[in-house]
Amino acid sequence: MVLVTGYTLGDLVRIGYAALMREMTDEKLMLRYAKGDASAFDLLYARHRTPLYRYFIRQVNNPATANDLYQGAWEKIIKGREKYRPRAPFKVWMYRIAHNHLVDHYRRKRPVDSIDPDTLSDTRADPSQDTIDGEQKELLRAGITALPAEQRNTLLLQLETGLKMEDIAKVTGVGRETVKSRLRYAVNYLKRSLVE
Amino acid sequence: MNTIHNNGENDNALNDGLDKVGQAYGRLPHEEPPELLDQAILNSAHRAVEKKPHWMKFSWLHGLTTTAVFVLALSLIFNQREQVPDFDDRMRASESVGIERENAARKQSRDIQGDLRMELKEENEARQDVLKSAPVSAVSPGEALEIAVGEQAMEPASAGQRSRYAQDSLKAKKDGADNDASGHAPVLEESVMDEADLMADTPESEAITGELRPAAVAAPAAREIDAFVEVDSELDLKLLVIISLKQSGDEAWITELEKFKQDYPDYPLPEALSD
Repeated sequence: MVLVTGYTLGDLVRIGYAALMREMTDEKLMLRYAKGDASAFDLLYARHRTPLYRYFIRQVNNPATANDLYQGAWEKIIKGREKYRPRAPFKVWMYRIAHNHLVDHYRRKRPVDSIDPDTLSDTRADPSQDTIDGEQKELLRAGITALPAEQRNTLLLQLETGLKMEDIAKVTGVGRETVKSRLRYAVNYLKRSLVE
Repeated sequence: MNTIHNNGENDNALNDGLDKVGQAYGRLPHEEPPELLDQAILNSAHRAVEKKPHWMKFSWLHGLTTTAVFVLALSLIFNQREQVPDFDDRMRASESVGIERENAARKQSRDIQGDLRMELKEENEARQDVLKSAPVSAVSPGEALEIAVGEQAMEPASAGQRSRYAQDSLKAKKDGADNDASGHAPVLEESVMDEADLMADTPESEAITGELRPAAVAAPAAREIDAFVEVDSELDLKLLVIISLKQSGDEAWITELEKFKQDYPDYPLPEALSD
């Protein structure tokens, strides 16, 4: 059946359904996916693909490794769909899976791409400059990479996901004060790296 | 977005620092996953929730069942094929065994008939000896008929037993002729002897009819062919009686022979009576 506007009834149903899905929270989408609605996963994936990928690529600083970690994390999310319970935000559950996957990766292979923080002082940009130019971007990237793994992980969870300290504590499996301490160390180090 | 809501100076300093770092971090290039990776993950997610038919969840069971049915059917077919020739062979074997048995029975029947004839001949000779030795006839024609009738009334016995019985009868008559001129009592007593007594009397009868024992020993096997032997032996006994009457010079043998011919017109007569 073709309506006057040129859309079929099926198109309108699909559009309405997509709009309804967009209004849904991550938790509802995940529950729908667990019940067999593949389109719910499409929307969920679209929402979280970039932050999760950047979380990995900032951690390992290697696109190939990041791709593997990223795909592996999503596979674990897909497999664990029936175990998901909306007691915590979906983001916390998802990043906890990603974090554990990353820890497993570190356990299998010692990180070799860490940079000695002392080498950063030699490449610092002009501190009088207010705006962050391309060189400063590289400094920031190098500074994040040079951070200890725990601090880097905590900082990236904060910067990429916007999770609260309590949620970051749940993801990383440590106390809230530990998270705050790690963040403070990481921020101070990066501030000194960039501003001084 | 990157502000941590907390009280205290340290928390404010941390929040300020996070804001600055966050602004700088937001200007970093936004790396995105490759499209192929996106597609692979989405495909995997879709495959994971695809609804399969119920039987596909147990596809291994389906395959196993099919294989089992196939194997059973094949084994059944092969088993049937093996059994059919076996059955035919058995049928042929049983047929051949039956034929062999029949031949053996016929042969045995012929042997028994031959033995009987020999026996009859010997009995004739013995009777003639008795008659020659006794001036007066020991056995009257009536007594001879009584012997024959008494034997006919007995239970069917094997050919060897009957011939032995006839021998015993003759022996009794001979003894009677020796001891008593009338010689009536032993014949009648012998005629009513049952088969069990005859069987128990084996050693004595062996002494008399020792050469006939093979036929008597084969009696159990010959029971299967009683139909062949029974009629012949009885008729032969009747003929024996008639021959003995004739040889003794009693005219009654003519009437007995006529009667026999009327009862059994097709039965071949021995040479002694065919004239």
